[in-house]
Amino acid sequence: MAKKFRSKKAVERGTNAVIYIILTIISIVWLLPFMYLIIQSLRGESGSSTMYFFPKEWTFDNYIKLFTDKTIFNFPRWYGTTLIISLCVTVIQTMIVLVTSYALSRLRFKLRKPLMNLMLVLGMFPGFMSMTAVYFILKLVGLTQDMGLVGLIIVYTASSCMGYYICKGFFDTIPKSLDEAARIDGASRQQVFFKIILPLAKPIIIYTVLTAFMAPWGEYMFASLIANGSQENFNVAVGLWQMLQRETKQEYFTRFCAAAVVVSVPITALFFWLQKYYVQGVTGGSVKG
Amino acid sequence: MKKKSIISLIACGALALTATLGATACNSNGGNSITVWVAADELPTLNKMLDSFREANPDFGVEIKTGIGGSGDALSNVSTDPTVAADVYCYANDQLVDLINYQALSPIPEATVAKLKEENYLNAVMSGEHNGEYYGYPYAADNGYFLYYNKAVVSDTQAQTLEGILQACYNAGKYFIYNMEEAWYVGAFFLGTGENCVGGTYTIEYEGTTVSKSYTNFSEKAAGQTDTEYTIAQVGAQAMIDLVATYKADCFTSGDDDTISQYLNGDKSGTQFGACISGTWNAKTIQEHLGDNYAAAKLPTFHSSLTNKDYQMGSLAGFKLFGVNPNTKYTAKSHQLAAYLTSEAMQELRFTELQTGPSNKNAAEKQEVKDNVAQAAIAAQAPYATLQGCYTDSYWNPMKQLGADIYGEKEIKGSVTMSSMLAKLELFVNNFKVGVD
Amino acid sequence: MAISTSELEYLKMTAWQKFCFKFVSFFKSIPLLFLNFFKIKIPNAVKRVGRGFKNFGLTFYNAARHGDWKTRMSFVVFGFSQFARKQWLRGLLFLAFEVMFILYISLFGWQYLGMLGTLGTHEGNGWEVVDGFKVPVQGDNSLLILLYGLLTVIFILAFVYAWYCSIKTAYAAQETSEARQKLATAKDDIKSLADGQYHKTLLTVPLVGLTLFTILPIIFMVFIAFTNYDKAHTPPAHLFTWIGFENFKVVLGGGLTGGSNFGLTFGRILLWTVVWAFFATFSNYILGIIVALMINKKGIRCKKLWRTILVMTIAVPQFVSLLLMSQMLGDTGVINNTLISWGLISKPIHFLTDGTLAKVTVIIVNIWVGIPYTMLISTGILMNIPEDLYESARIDGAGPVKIFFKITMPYMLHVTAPYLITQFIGNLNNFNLIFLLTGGNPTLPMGYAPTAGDTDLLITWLYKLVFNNSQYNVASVISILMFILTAVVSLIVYNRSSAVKNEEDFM
Repeated sequence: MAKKFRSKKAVERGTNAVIYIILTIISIVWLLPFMYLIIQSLRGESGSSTMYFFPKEWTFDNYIKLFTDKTIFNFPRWYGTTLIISLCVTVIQTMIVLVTSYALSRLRFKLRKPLMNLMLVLGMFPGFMSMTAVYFILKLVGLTQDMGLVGLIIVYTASSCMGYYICKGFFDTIPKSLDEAARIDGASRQQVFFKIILPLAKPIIIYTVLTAFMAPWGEYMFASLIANGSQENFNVAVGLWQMLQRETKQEYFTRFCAAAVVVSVPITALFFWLQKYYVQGVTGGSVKG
Repeated sequence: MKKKSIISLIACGALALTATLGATACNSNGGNSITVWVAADELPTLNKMLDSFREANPDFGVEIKTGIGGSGDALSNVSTDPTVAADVYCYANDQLVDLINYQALSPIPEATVAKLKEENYLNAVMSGEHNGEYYGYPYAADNGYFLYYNKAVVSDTQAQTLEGILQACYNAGKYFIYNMEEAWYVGAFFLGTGENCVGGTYTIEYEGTTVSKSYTNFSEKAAGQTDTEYTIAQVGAQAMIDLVATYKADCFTSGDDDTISQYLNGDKSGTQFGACISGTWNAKTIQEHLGDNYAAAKLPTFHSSLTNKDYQMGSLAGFKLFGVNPNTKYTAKSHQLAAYLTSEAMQELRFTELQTGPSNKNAAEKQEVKDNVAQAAIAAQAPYATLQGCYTDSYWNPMKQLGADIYGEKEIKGSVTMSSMLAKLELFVNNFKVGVD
Repeated sequence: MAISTSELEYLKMTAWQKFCFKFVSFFKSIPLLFLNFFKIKIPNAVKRVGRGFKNFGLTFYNAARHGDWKTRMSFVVFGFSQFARKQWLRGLLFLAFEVMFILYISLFGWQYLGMLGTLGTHEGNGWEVVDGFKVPVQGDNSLLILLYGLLTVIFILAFVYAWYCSIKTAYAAQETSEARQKLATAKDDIKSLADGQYHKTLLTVPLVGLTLFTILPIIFMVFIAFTNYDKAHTPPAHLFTWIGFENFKVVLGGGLTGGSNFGLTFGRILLWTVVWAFFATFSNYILGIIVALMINKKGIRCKKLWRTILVMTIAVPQFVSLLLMSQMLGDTGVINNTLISWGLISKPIHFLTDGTLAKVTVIIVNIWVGIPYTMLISTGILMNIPEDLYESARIDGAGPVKIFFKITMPYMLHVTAPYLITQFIGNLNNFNLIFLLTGGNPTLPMGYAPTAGDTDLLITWLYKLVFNNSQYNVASVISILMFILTAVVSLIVYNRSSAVKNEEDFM
């Protein structure tokens, strides 16, 4: 009996070892592009690409120049602009998603089902097709030129109620008996939302915040339309894209990589820190659908 | 149904009001300033030019701002909303007709045109002409491609012929890089206005000067072919097929600027770069890597296995111009600024700072320009270059498809024969004809 | 597997068979569902709309017939009745809306509304001389006429609705006061907006945003499909105008870009789009679950570290990571070169330049992008699987593989079916991955429409049609067709899926 027990333990240890090996391989494969990115950003020799993995010459210059050399590209400025856009988008989008989800999950009104279906299918229309129209609507209210960034924030957030899905799923899992008890005690629906639902919704709030925060960093199409050539209005994606133009790519590619690293470090850190809630949020939401 | 959407009423109403106010307030362009767009790397130079402009015109009276918008992207930057685009911007001449279609270019007064013709190469000025109007102040004549080579691998004589280059690269274990999957470069085997090119001469007479401007007709017989029935399309395609069949992967590869950079950086043993076909924007990088072995020349000749003749490779050449946006508040001042930015002195400054090949005759005749390796090469290629007019997508797309098909050895794997290509070429020529009309 | 399989047989099946059975019968039932959709759902909707119109008309009729002078004045001056009955908040809002609407129409809207029928008549070609410089003559801009015209139509609809509300509430208030009951004051209104009418408070801003920035642009693009807006008719220099169903004939009849090319290319791309969506979805799903299982296994340490490593793919902007990927995978890129220098291969592998291989490559890269999401989602769900299920299976002597297929997968499939569907539809329109990684390349050989490539999905091909060829009208037709297809399928699927049916489960 004891012997069998030990062998079972050995098997267990064997499986774990295999899993560790697989996980290590997966991690390497997953990290390879990032290693490549980081290594490229530390490459000393110029040019847009190399055949070899490790550079012949290591340097930190790309990072230093990224922040100090502003003769052509003003990376710190783009970074600041994007951060501001991102924060505004995060706040507005989170509020919109939360209120929409609460309304759809807890309130009953006539057009609820049609609304849910409508929001579901609208996202299937290719977005770039309507870009021109969106631009001229913004122009109509004067939000394209000097007010371009406000316009950009509005465009990023205006339709965010379409992303109600996961959040509503999460709210659906919060037992309704809680609200009913509060309603019996005389709470209004607004009070239920603020006093009962929101305190329980921490994971989904964090999930929404994280997804909302990340999106503006990679958005190029609309941002470049709004920026209209003026570097004051560039977001990170538009600026980085400019670095990759034919005239500048060979010289600035390594700096581009450095910039990409600078952009992704804070987001990765956020993820590391808030992972637990993110998992809870996305799980809760997607279970119910 | 007691409390009807009160809040939605507020919102709709507020929006209607802002819309009304916004529409009445926002119909003017920009504010009180003139904006100039150039490519990002030209910004420092532009600022110097503007400084000297302000010095020369102290009573100009309008603030000048700068922005990023390269000549290659002018159309995409301007087309969505020309009314808010820069007042003065640069563009490559192949976008001319589209830009006019968007009402994004203002014609130049006749007196100024005469002056431009006097000072610049006629081809450059003509590249901004459409239906008798002139829309651009030329400033660069180097928008084309030619040969770069590594003198340690390819000798100056070998660089004269494609076969010589490839043999030299093969022997040295280095590579020749030519982008066969990009329509712009694929034309090299078909186009050309010089007497030795496959395409023969397709030009128009303009005020007593020959200006090459028309399309090459691919279904016509190749230059000098009267006895045999080989067309331009056949001769060019066969040369490409031969190149791929004989040298691909050994010493020839197709690729973009990334690939050029990869071969320049090479591997542990050093650079892998033998030669490449590219343009002036890569001059700095190639020179940096090759040092004393850096050299450039006109495109080589290639030997056709069909006609058993040597042909000069042709190229597309274009110009870059400054245009004035007719939506500007300050038409006269914008024209004044654009003329200044493309004047002889400014083209010289541009050459010193950015190595841009001038379109101004005096500036181009300067010894420093002639001594510049890349500029000398593009000048040597000029007689064999076709002016890149307003080719439509029905030129670019089939051309790209043909090049990619041949390089990818699609359906012609194994023995490469002309007969297997014929059907394909017929399709190509037909596709192309549709595009010309 | 026949659809007539009896319940008993179904119960006897293994979990996988059950899944396959459900899968097959789902696809078999699609035609029927479509039929139902058009036979029942749409007539019902039409009936409901008809009833709405009837009520709408009745309200006006009643108010005009039985209303007192205060109510009747509301027909002309919004909110008059409310003011007269001391409901100043409502009155003010209605009046303000009317004033704004009149301002909007008179200052801005009317000029566009009038031209909506022709989309402009005055073409802006030719020059006029201003201060010695030629300036293009400004003509009508068809694009702005269509867009702002539609905007005005939306405002008019909103106005009519507000008018209806104004009359309705006025008449209701009249009836209330005639019955000697207390009228709702401004204070009551505000209170109700935080409780009984709370959904209006919450949803107004999101819906106004949605209408202006998603619905209106989509309506605009739909209308473009009925115009001749292409390269030869680009505003502002040229006009475009209505041409009816011509574009649909062109697309469905295959008459675009040179004869039969178009239909052939369309078919090929459509097929690849569906194949891609299938493989992209299921490869991510199954592998993601397996990875999550490995990380969550008892005895595996550093769970947080493994997860974070995977999640880093989410943190780096996609245009950066995919650009680097395409560099690394190129014929002369670092991967090929390393493999060659290790002596594993002698010629480069054409990861992105060979048609078939490129298709495999994009699916594999998509696994790299997508597994972290599946992993995160399944991590939480896996923890919810009751431990005793596993325990009893183990006692029965089931190995880990058997447990995976008998317990884990069925449970996951049951719970995450909606997620799987979202993913599938998302992959049908996965623009970013294809566009950034391959741009649709390698190019399809001669004989196909020249813009299309081997890895092009419908959506990336559409992008090329719009931005390289300026064929807005045709692109719009294609997107309408795509939209109808995906929207109908997903609506049917969603409304059938258990999550929606059991929405009230947790009550």
